[in-house]
Parts: sequence; structure tokens; C-alpha cells
Amino acid sequence: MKLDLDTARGIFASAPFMVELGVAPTAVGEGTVSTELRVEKRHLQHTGVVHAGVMATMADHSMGAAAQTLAPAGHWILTAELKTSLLRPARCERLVCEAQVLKPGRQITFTEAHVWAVSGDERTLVMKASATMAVTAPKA
Amino acid sequence: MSDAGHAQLLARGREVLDEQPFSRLLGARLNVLAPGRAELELTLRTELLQQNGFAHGGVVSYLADNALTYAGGSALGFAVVTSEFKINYVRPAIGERLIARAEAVALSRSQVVCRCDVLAWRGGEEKLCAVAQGTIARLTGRGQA
Repeated sequence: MKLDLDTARGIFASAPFMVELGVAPTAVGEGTVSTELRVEKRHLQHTGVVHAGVMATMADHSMGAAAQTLAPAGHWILTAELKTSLLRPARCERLVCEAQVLKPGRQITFTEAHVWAVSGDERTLVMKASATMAVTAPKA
Repeated sequence: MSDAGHAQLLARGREVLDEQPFSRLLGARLNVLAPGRAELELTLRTELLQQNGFAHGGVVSYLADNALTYAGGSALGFAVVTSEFKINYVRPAIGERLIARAEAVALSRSQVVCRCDVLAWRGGEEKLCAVAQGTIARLTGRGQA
């Protein structure tokens, strides 16, 4: 499935939880998707850092979209498993996620993502994630 | 732990949950908190779904992550941080609510490995939709929660 930025924006906008969080794609390539989120109070933990669930969600959906760019027409992507490593606490203005396909497949696509905490010009790696995506065929 | 101790632990756990803006956004409720054991629940609504109408994977992983952290936190003492976790989505999460049940399985001085099942409730029936495992570490100094 060829995916341009406008199509990707439409796909993200069709997932209510992405809209609720405010995650939007900023770049799309063959097997790569970048996304961004402006951090607001609703994204935080009681300690004032961004909740890991926000970063995991962002990484998950961005990796799914990256897998979608290489999926056959009509097929859709479901996350089969997700692993996250929380490297550092995130206190920042924005989160930026860069997701890429490591190996596309007919049934399974392997992906990974990095999530960065960004404030001004400063960028810190806060999460490393990887996921196995199931490529789901249309129902006959 | 005495009944009064259990009640106090659960009350403190609910206070912490209420102080987490992201947990309030998702509407999570803490049903059970005992040393090394926790149950979290949330009601599904449109905002928490993905494009196919299932609960978003991020919502499921949030619930698992927070339940793992509560199980680990109650086993270790309250200041903890999730250092890593892994989740397998075994079935689309469809239903009225999700329940995450987590338990500590291996406790050491500085960290605890916890396991969690996430169940989807639909029409009075519960179905396993995800299994997760993570490492919860004692928090030293500043940090993630």
C-alpha cells in the first residue's frame, strides 16, 4: 500500500485513541513513519513525567503504520506483540517517534521504533520499542 | 498483612492513580492491591478504540503496564519505575471493559519481575486478550514512574 503523508494523516485520524492523544504523522516513506505529539498535562504521570503508556501507544501505532506502508493492498496490520524499554524519564515539550520496518513479510512484519523527548533544540532518546505485526488478509 | 493494612494499601494506591493525569484520562480504577498483586480496570468508550473498533493496543498496554507497576510497587515499596515490559496481544480486545490482573513472580532487592493477564469483558463473559511481563525497578533518585 503506497502511503503518502495525507493518507497517513487520514489513517491516524480514523483511530479515535490517536485523536484523543494528539498523535499525528510528520513523515512517511517506504517502511518508515515519523510521528509527533505535543505533551500536555493529560499525558503525564503523578510525578510530572510522561506516562509510559503514551510513549508505548505512540510507538505501537507508528510501527503499525510503518508496516502498513509495505502491506499488500487490502491487507491490514494488527500488533501481535510489543516490547518496550524505558530508557529515561521524559519531561519535554514534544515527543517524536521514528518507526521503521526491519523485515516485511506476507504474514508477519518486524518493526522497531525510537521515541525521543524534545524540548527546543534538545533531543533525548527515552524509549526503544520493537513489535511484531500481523499482516491480516481481507476476509474472503 | 492485616485487613486494616490491606485497606490502607488499596487507599494509597487509589490516591496515586488519581494523581496520574493519564490514568484519569483513560478512567482506570484500582480494584485490588495487595503485596505483589494488583487488579486494574477500565471501561471502554469510543475515544479508546482504534480504527477497527477494538480497544487500541496502547490502551491495553497502558493497563498492563500500570497493573505490572502496581504489583511490583506493592511488592517492593512505593517508589518504583517500569524498566521494560513486553506484551502479546492474543485476541482483539472487544467488550465493555478491560481488566488487568498482575502479580509479582520473582522479587529481588532492587527489582521485581511481574506478570499480567488482560481480560476483555463482553456480555458477562471474560476473554483473555493480552499477556504481559515486565521488570519493575526500585526508584533511586529522579525518574520515570
